[in-house]
Amino acid sequence: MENNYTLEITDVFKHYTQRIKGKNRFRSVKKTVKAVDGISFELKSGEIMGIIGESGCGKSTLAKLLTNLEQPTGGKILFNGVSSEEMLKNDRLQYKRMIQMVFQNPFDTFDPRNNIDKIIDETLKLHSIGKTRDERASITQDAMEKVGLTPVDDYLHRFPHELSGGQLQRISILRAMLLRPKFLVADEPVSMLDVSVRAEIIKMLQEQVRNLNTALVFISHDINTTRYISDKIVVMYLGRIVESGITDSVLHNPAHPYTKTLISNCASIDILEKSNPIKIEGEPPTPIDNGPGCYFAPRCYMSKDKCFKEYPEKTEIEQGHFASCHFINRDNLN
Amino acid sequence: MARYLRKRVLTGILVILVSLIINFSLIHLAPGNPINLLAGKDNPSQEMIDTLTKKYGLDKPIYVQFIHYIKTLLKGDLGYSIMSNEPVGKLILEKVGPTLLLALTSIILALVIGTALGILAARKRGSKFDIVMNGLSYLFDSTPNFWLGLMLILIFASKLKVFPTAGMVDLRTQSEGIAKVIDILWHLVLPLTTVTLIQIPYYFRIARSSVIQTMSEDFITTFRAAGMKENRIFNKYVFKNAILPTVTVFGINLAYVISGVAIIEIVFAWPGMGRLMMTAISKRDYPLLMGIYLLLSVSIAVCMIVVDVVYAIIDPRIRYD
Repeated sequence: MENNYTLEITDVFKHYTQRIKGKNRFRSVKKTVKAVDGISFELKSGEIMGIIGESGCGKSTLAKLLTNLEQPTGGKILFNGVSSEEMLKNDRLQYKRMIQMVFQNPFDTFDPRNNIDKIIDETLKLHSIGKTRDERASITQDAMEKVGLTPVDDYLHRFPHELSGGQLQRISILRAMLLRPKFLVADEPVSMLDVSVRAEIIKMLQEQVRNLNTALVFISHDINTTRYISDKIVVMYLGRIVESGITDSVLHNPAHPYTKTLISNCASIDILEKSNPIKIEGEPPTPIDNGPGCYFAPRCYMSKDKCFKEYPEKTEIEQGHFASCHFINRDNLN
Repeated sequence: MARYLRKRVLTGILVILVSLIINFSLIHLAPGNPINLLAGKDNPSQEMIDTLTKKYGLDKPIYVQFIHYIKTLLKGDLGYSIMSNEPVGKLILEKVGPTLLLALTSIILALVIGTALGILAARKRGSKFDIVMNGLSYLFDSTPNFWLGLMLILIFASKLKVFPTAGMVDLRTQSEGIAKVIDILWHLVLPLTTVTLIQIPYYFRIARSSVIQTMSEDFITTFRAAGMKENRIFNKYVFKNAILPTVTVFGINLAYVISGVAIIEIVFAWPGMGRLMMTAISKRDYPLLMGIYLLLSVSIAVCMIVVDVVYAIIDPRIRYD
């Protein structure tokens, strides 16, 4: 079987309705929160795509949409040209198996009342991997030995609270990869862990997806880590993609002021390197009534009147490198 | 497990001992004494009072009385009631049955109904059912139990005449066998409803909130992401995790009901320990009171041990050592 899969996201929306106190204090007003507001990208087997952005920009909602933990309000998610709805209707488990997820907090990812052996067995059983309990146990043991979780028995018969965050996250990755998914979504997989074990987890994640030619969506707010791991990068702001492209191209030659701001605020290990962090004020607003203009305009250091009036078109800067800003061309001339 | 159990039992014995000391001193510190009541109001002679005091050993210092009480207790003797001169053990045994019938049935009913309603409300969070049940739970939680009892009597016994107003059996028809059981059950309805309704809110709220909390846990999301069906997730994982706080509340509530049911017994003239306790208090019947309190503290200690053990069985995070 050809191990070549494409995940195609076209114009995906996720809107929530929220009741907010209006001017009249006794009546609440229904407002639409645009958590994900029209996102499109493509991902092929073996690729690693990083998604960066501040908290509240819709990264995690996007992850939930991909893994069908939430249903999109609009837009299409296509796997090799087949829509997610159709796949879910035909075989829900197959869909779930094809796209797996690694969660942010490894301490909460596992049922506290079961040991690791039971937790992994339950998942394998659900997807009918291995016919007998023994067969499943040997599959688990092999996989654990391969990633260096040895002696295996030490881990299998422990309860989640008896293991460290790093160990749990490795088991979490393993549990997802045992289903041999075509796509893996990792939502901030190392942000809860000690810095000392982060590299190990990233390395394991890389090895695992490389072995199975699985495509990885790596969600993070840490530019350095994302740069290290990913081939492509997507920068999100308030539910929209503001810039996307090959990692090096985006990070060395950022076109969108938001990307520039993020990069300029990123700590470098080189103390001699001159850094002039661009100041960005306030927190990202809640995505309600963003107005007709560019969503980033209120916080942008180079916003002009035009920015508040119309949303900038997606422009190609170099091959495969896109950004949505009114001042891209002029900026490039400088 | 044996070690864990032994530790629990030792703690239980300690609790009983401490409560014995507190009960004994509190009873004796309370104003009034049984001798004055026993001697009557018609100017009893000092000689008579002294004789009576000596007869019941009340002239000795309180710690000597306590040591004496413990000594006889260790022989399995609860002493004699000052008022009726009958053995305390016999008096309590006569009354303990109806109390247990009322308390235990209500505890089990409230646990089952309250938890079931709580789970339903949590799964339909924000629905009309949830909102109404929440409101009702606060209403019944803030209702004094005796008032609720009186209202039930007023409506169902006095006005509608569906259920009897008081007692445990109909005194006019001395029924036997099955007829007697039905008669008792008929009398049980109103007091049981009262005690159950008062307890349901505890179980409702704890079940509702812990189910809601568990359902939003990350590991439940993990199962969803793995493709497990919602019902299976609930039955296999949410329920077992969400039931843990209910076990704790059950233990606390058990203790509360066993002693708190006394008021309801008085409202419904239920021939249980409640009335025995009230008479013993008003007559300062020291040995009888000590006997009743001892029974209460023993049953509460036993409940606590059982709850601890059950908790350790269903939650592997609790170590046995």
